[in-house]
Amino acid sequence: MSDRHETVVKAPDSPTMVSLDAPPSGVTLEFLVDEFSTAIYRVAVSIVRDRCLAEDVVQETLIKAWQGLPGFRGESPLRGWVLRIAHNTAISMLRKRRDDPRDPMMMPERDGEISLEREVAGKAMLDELWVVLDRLDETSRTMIVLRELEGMSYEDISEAMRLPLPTVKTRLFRARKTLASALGGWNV
Amino acid sequence: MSRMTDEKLMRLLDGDPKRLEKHFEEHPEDADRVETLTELSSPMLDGLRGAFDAPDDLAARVQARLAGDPVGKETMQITADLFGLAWRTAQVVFGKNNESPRAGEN
Repeated sequence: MSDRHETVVKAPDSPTMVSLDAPPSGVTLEFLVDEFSTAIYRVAVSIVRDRCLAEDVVQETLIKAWQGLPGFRGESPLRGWVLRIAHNTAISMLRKRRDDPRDPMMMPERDGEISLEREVAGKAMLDELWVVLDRLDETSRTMIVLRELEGMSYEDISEAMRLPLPTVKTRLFRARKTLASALGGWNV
Repeated sequence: MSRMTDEKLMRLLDGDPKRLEKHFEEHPEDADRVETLTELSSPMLDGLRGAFDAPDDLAARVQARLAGDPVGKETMQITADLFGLAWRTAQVVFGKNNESPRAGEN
């Protein structure tokens, strides 16, 4: 599969194209919000499994990314760098929640979000999918998001998650096999 | 060495991860084959998109949350000072909800 990740984008208020492989001199916070909120949110949901908390992760990640931007050397793509912050932030917030006597898994979903989404996309199918996703560990779920939804290359995922490339491939293939085996009826 | 069958390759996935990694390092062509063999179907990808679907107004909500966060507010103010803030963001930060996009330009 080819690398589907767009590496060059136009930053707002910038007359030129900004390469995300180079230090982003003209990147604004608004650009970070517009460009990465959805990806951060997906990574967050894959880890914390709670949409309210995922929005907290998005907010925290963007602030950290913005504050850390002067130190970003462009040795890796900006997207991977931001999503690594998101991954770490989500793990950290999940740990805090787990230490909280109110178990996040026992908390009700926010009204009108997951329930509405599931109505639209087919509640039974999404429930079935989440049962299978829950069999995967957080790292594998995040890899599925980065590869299948964000279209990142294996190399970029390896960099973002600080895992060796063979480990990324092995875990992703196993996760995909788990999904395909459990949801075989979805292939038709 | 003879080519491993697809079935055997897929069974290898259930085995020891370290052994699998070693195998892929020695036989990258097998990693490519497993990639193809485990490719997710369109319905599954659609399902994943639904499972990890972000709210349509996520960016606007994040902007609003950042504006309400003391650190985020300060950060956004710096952004505005340094680069000039788009009207939509300025609307959220400064609460100029009733002004037209051109109002702040004069």
